[in-house]
Amino acid sequence: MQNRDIKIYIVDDHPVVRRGLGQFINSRDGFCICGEAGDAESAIADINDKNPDIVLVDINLKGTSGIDLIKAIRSRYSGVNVLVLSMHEENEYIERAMRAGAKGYILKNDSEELVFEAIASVIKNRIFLSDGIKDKVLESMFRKNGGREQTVALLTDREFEIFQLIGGGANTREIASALNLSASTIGTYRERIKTKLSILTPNELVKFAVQWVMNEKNKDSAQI
Amino acid sequence: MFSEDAETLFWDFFDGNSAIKLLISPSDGAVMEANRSACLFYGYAPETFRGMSFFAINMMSEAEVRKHFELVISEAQRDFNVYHRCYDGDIVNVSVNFGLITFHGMELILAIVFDVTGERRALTASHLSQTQFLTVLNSMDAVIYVADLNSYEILFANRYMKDSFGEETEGRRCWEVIHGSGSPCKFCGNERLLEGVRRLEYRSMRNRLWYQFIDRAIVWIDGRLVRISIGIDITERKQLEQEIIGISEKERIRIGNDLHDGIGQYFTGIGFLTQVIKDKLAACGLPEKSIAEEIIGLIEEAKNHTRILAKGLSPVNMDKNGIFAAIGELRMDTERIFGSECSFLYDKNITVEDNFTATHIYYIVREAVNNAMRHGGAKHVDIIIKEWDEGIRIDVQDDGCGFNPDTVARGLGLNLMKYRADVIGGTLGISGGKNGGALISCIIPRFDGHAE
Repeated sequence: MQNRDIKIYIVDDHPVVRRGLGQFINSRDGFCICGEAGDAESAIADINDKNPDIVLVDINLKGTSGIDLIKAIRSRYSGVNVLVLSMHEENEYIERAMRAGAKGYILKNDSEELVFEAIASVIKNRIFLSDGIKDKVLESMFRKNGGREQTVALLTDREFEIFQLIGGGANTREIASALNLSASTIGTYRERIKTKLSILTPNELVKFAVQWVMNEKNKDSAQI
Repeated sequence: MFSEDAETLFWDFFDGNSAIKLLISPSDGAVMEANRSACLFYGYAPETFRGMSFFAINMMSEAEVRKHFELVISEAQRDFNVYHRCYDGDIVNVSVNFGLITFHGMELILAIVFDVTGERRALTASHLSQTQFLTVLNSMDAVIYVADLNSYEILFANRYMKDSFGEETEGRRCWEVIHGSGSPCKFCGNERLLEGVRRLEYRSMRNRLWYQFIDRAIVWIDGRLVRISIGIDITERKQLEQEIIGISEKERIRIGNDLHDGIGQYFTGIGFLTQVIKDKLAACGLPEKSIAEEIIGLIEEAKNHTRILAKGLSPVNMDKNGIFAAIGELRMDTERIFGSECSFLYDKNITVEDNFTATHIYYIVREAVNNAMRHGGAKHVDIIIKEWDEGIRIDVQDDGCGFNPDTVARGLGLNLMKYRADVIGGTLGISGGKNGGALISCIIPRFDGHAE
């Protein structure tokens, strides 16, 4: 790695950014631009030929999003690290990008020099976040999260009704009969509830629903 | 045989009052006697009438009249509603009461005739008038219905109303028919209708159309107090109004996005290129390097200004998850600024593709959170976005002091939230939250994004 330039591929739908960033990177010893693309589709095909060490990706791309591009790069070319260079400073994007497999996230508003610092870190497989972002991500991580208990609020009235019946020990057939719906409809509802509560198995759903109903009863009796 | 007194009494009874009476022989239908009233009514001279056939003044056939006689003799029926012809050709509708009497040894039929032509005419006129009235109401391109002031039961609905809200309208509650809701509308002003006419505009939650209604209290045909409501479909006008108002909003959002995605990107590119120049000037040891550094500093400032300006004009990024990113930031800012807890939960399957809709949702949430913090003194506020029927529902619930219904109606912030909900085809509701605070809910039944 020490003997050759770090090869960088740029994906950004703004030509002026590709041009400026490309010239900036090429102007430094040890770094070179091996290719560039304005959209995710072209990038995916081209990255295979150009064999970069790092791909610099903008989140906002026309067509396939930058997040989906990160996932595609990580699944096809596991040795290629991704660094995000974005206008978006919102946590939502940072978390999505990092979950998709990005190694670093810097802002277009950061100082230009930070690009090399980030590349140097990411090439060593280390996570890099610019200072403003780092604080926000940490703040978000350490804030009090209600976890799955809170996500019950995302259920619709009907899903919540079924969730409560599951928690009360009713099986699909009994719920279908109680609500005058078919068993397959209840099955569909159960799947939706699982998705919303990030639950993987039917057993886990029953366990969580029973626990939730018991907790609610305890809360009620405590209030009395 | 009649005594002299009895005979006098009979003639007094027969002739001495205004009832129309005829004595008829049942065997041949001959009129044996006709009193003065009968002569006046039918227009015959007494001597002409006497001896005439009763069948001749009947519009029915002789056989049918004879059947009536048989019914009278067998005491099966005494009253008949028939048509008679007068001397001048007039046809009169009469009700005839037949009775059997024995007179001078003969079995005769006493017919007492009542003229019901006037009553029938009045009934026909009334029926005609009702038909005309209904024809007028049913041909009007407006919702017209009558509902009980107390029970809200719809007593009458015109054709337009039935075409708009379904045939099964009468007998159901107005709020159920028009909004599909389970309780009276919050804006219902039934109690104020006694003071006079009320004009209001609202949108049906069932067919999503806008109506301008004129309501007034009237006394219904059965004596009870009812509300008559006449509503004109103003959906097109409303849409136009909202489009005109929306133009400036859309323009603002467009400029914001252009700043963010256009000018902002140029500054980024220029910044990198200037760095290259600065590096080259530095490598050559030229003093102009400091000028390049100054330019880079100015570009940094310009980038920040652009970012702040773009955020102010368009707070939600133009992508399907932009709304969640923006509310996520709002949540963090709320905690930082107010020191209160703010949670944000949303269904990850929901996306809001339309940036205009997303921006209005964002402003509704921001206003609701601001109200909770500034006016409600809340220590905790929950923001929830979830799917709701075929659309989405946004709840902002706090544990503050709640809303004062007297002041809330006048609040500009609330009116703005309602306006924004209207613009994106949603409905805004305010109610008490779980912990005594306020719950602001915005339901968007059909929206440009989707809930999978």
